[in-house]
Amino acid sequence: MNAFIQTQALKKTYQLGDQRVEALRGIELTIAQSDFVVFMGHSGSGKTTLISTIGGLTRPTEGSVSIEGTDIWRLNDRELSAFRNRKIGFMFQSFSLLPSLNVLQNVVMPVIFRKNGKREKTDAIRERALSLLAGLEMKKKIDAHPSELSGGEQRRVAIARALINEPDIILADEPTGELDIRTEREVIEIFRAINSQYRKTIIVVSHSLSWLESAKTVIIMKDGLMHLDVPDPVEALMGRACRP
Amino acid sequence: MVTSLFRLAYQNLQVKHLRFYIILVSVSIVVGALFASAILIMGIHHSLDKGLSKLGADLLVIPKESLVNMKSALLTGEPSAFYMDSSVLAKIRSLKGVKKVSGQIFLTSATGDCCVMGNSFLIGFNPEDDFTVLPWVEKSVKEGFPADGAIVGAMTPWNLGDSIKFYNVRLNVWAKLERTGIGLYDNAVFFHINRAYEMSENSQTDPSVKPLAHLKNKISGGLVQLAVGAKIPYITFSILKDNPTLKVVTTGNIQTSARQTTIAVFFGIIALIALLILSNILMINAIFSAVVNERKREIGIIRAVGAAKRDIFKLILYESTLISVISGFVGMLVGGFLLRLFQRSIVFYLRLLNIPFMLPPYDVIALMTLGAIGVALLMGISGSMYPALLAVRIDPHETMKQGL
Ligand SMILES: Nc1ncnc2c1ncn2[C@@H]1O[C@H](COP(=O)(O)OP(=O)(O)OP(=O)(O)O)[C@@H](O)[C@H]1O
Ligand SMILES: [Mg+2]
Repeated sequence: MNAFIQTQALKKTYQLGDQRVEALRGIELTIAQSDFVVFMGHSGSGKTTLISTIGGLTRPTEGSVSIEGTDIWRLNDRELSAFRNRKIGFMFQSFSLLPSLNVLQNVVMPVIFRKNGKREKTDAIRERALSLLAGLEMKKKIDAHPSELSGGEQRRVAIARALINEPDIILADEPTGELDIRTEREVIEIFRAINSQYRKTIIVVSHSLSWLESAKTVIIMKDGLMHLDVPDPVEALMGRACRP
Repeated sequence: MVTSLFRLAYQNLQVKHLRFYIILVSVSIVVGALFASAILIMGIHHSLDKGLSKLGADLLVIPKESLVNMKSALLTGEPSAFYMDSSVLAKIRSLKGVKKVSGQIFLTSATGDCCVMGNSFLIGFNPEDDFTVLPWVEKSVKEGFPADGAIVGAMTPWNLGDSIKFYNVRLNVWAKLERTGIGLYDNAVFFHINRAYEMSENSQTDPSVKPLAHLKNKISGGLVQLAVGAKIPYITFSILKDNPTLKVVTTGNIQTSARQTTIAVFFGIIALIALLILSNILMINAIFSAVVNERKREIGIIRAVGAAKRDIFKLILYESTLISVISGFVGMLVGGFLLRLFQRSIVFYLRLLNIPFMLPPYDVIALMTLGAIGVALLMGISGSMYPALLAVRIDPHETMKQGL
């Protein structure tokens, strides 16, 4: 398996007063390009912390994250920001759109921070945003503001935004939280299509079992450690034996 | 389309109406007050400069008794009723360091059959040795000043070619001066000193007017221009040694005392405005801090999609810059509009206080416009500096977490 994303001895310790919280306790993770990884695990097991260190949002206490051979935590703030902008599309649980912008403007927002010398024509950006929104059946709502959208519609806009800069990696934390089961299926279907058609690497954190059938790799997080190739994830999550 | 940081800042302002209007009102009040008072003070100084430089004289020699009147005469144009012998001029002219000397005589104007209507100051001057009146009339270079000519101030009701009459002496308006803002000049009628002597004679026989003093060979004062490098105290001393009944006034003194009054007022206003600026900076700081706090999640999202710390810093500063520049313009428009609206009454009250006023030249106004925008920017930027630093420190990871 060729390593597209690789972490080495990744540790993250939070200091809460005089209490130390070990959120990550040495993660050795290798993800291949075009993989579809789903992280599951109990609340507080370190899932969000892990994907935000992989995504360049939280600096690890120890260890390294390398993406396509770049040790991202050795980059300075500007380089890392540019890297996030170019390589990674983020999706957060909810309320992740900017309330002052309409749907189209939200989708286009990451373009503002693009640093690669040649500037793309506004028309071309607009076209791409419109076709992404059309693909997500959101074309009718391009002028709406986030407060005027349902939860499912907000997710679609966030997906379009995550794709606008054509990143290689999509990182999503609870992208289907608080959605009804049908809308959840639709969102999962969109992720699956992105993975199979555009060959993007997808990393999702979720509590929902609905993701399991779409995932190529399932990783169970427990107390800051990860468990790969768990034979029965549901069993593992119910708290019964699982060995590293 | 919002495809630049600046547009994003603009978009953000459009949504957050309330804070925008609060800052707009308060910054524009300060800028408007600053702009209006600066225009007023600069206008006063400008007209002092312009009026007094027109004198072209370094010293005024006047009878001792008229000293007090003389100072106010320059600003308000109340002529003095004291006279001295014109032979003094020759003696002063012979002093070393004196370049030019010219006598002038002030008459009180009268109304009635003898004279035209109008409240003007009558000043007789001698075109042969004059260096303060004629230089301001362009055609005097080519044409000689006619014996029955008159040069009138800008505020007088007469125009070129008009025929006017004082104490039954007929004069033809030969030139009209530009506005100076100084009462004495703007309301003056200048004519040959010999016409002044005629007027004084006529007034003795005309039963309808109060007779003037016997003025033959008298003057109200002498204007003295010094040679380069001449020492004012030395010349003053020499003049007074020969003529102990005279008084020597340096024009610098007059200018200085008028300036000092307005400068004191100006500093009072500036101190007040400085306080207002400070309180505005604190207010902008408070508003922006609250806004940054309220937008933590938003800022985290922007960071996640690729904004560097410096982008966040710029975003906040762009927002405050936009607000403050807009407020600066609004403030200036309001200040300028109010000045214009009350121009007449302001000028009127200044007159009552013996203060001349004239709009400063356009390049000065342009400079003040830039200054006003600069002050607005100063308030916006220094007020939002700390909140911008707060925004930079927001951790994007926090936005990944739920329920925030
Ligand atoms: N900023 C922080 N400061 C202190 N402790 C933190 C911080 N963020 C996370 N933690 C702690 O680190 C541990 C892992 O948190 P994390 O958010 O990664 O869990 P999670 O697996 O995403 O949980 P959930 O499923 O509830 O989202 C928890 O014990 C949490 O309390
Ligand atoms: Mg989490």
